[in-house]
Amino acid sequence: MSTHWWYVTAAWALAGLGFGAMLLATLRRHAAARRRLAALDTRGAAGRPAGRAMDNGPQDGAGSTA
Amino acid sequence: MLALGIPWALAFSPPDWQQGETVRIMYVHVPMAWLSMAGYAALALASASALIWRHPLADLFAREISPVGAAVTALCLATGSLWGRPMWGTWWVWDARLTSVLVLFFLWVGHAALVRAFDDDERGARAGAILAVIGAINLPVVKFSVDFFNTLHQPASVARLGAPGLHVDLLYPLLACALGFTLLFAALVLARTRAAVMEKRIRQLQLAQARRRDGGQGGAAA
Repeated sequence: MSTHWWYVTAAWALAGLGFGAMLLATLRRHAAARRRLAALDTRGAAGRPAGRAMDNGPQDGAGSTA
Repeated sequence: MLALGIPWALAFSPPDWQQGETVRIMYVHVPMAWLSMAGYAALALASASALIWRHPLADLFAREISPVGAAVTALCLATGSLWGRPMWGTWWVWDARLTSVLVLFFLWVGHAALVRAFDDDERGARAGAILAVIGAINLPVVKFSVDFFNTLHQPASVARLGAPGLHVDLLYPLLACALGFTLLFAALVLARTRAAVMEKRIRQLQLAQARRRDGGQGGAAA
């Protein structure tokens, strides 16, 4: 293995580690958010597309207390 | 795409006649460089649309893309250093290309830090959007730095007017890796944005629950 191969290996290892860490962190965060949302939203909002989640905010709850 | 591109780049593409096996760093360094610039263009566009149309999703997208963009730019700088050491005999030179990419890295990190620095998310997003839009001035500086200045870094060999300067044996695996890393970058940013939307919904639900509790207690006291 020539010296140049060490640089090649180091470059690809850095990229692999960097993207691997980001991917793992993102998947964990996504799963945690999904779990918490499913536990909180008993109306089945977790099954809804995430983009719809911004449509109705805390005013739902505020309205129900009025 | 990466399952195709990585073995192609590391095992099946030929070594360069001048650089030898070291050319295989190109297949990771160049996609990182393209992504750092294309990602910043996406950040600037999202920030401009957030400033003009006040779309909340554009703010969330900008907030979530900046850490990924900063990491990709850091990888571009690190892999460039690892390529420069055997080829130029140095890890770093203060030439126009390297310095402008370092500025791009600081802009990414600055944006990621700025949007998280305020208690009020909206103010943070607005400050970050202004920084992102102003920082877009750096993109043509990065792109044309090798043409306008005398740099140790080589001029563009793929994204240039006329035919690419790379032989197809090197060009095709490079394009495969670039497409694979681009899809991975997009998937990461979209998954982060989706998680951020869900977290926002969680905060709203918690707030609504707290209000309901407060309302219930108030009613009982009355």
